[in-house]
Amino acid sequence: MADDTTTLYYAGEMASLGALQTTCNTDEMNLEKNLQSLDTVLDSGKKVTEAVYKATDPDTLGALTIEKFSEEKKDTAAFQGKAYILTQPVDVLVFR
Amino acid sequence: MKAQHSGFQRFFRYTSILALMVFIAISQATNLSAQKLPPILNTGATDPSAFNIDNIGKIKKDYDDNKNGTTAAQKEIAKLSRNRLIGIGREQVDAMFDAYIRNDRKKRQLVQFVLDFLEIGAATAISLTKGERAKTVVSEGLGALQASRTSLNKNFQLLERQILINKMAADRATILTTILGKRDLDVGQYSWEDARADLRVYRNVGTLDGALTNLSSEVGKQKTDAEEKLREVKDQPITAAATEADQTAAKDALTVRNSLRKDLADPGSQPAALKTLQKIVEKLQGEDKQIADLLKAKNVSPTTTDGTEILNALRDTNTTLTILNRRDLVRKINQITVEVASQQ
Repeated sequence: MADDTTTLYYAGEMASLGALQTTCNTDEMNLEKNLQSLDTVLDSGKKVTEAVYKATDPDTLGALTIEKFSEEKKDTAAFQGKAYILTQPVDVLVFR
Repeated sequence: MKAQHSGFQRFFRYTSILALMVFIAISQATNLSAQKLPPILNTGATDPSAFNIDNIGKIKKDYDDNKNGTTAAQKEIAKLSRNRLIGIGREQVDAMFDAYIRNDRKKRQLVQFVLDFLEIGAATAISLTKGERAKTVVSEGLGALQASRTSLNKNFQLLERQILINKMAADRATILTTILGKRDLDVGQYSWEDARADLRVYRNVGTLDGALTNLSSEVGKQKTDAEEKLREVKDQPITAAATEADQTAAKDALTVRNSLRKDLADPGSQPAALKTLQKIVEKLQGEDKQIADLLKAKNVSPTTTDGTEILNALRDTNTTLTILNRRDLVRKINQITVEVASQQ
């Protein structure tokens, strides 16, 4: 069975959570796949944010909100992840 | 006893005068060592545009007049205007940062000098003063002074300030590299509004609050990073951040593709939808060789009769180009999709 996921790697120098949100929403609409996870990894030693996309719900593409992690809102988030912002790891909540 | 007391007073008077002279000498030395600005950097004299709101307004007008232009000349003018605005913004932020660092350093030096002077004076007074009661009083005063100094240093980050300034400089360099890397992009790809948002981040990372926040986050995370080893991947292509313009183009194109997909399922509107998709492929093939090659690899051409196959090929081409960090080509596909659909 073909792998229906697409993984993108964003530079660790992402300027802000707002820029990450714009990027993920843009890629959801271009790939026609929904963001499934965000994680911090090392790509040949360089800090990058790994974003995994998978086609699950075409009606909700491009409607993500990404916020800094908070205990109060974690239960209402679609998922919890990690991303590099200005090369610093940040725990995030992704809402759909 | 009286003679001793008089000698003691004289000693302190001379010490105070000597300390004052040293202080004045240090202050003057600081001023003397300050260099004059080269004329070209002397704002308000030779090139006042960076601080002249009228000139900035003119450049902004050039940008606004040409940002939606269709000719190559208009696009170039808009790009140049945006880059000039970025340069001006950068100079203003740099000037603000430099002034802050200079003032901050002077204030810190003065505060530390006064505190050193008081501490040394009190310590000397203890050794010269006679009588247990007097020694105890001065000693208590010195203790209070030292405690106050510790509190001052702790709460106003006086000693850690250089670390914070280094953090500011590192973060500013990171953001500036990002901004400079986008100057070759067209205004459609990187608008002045996007650039201004980046300049705002550039300004914010040069503030004490910004540095404290970033540093605290960094230090806090170092422990976590040490505890959990980061997963490693090898030689993956890095995709740059998308801009607001990318997002708008993606949204408009997705709306068109969804509409065409719906039309393909309806026998009444299927022929028109297929014709639109074939026209999109035809235009894309003539627009860029890499896009044409990717569509060809998907066995899609202007004569393909399966509309869904064309839609899937467009999506897969977008995916491949995004992975390869060719957001410019993805934007072109999206723009042509919307443009052709609006003409049909």
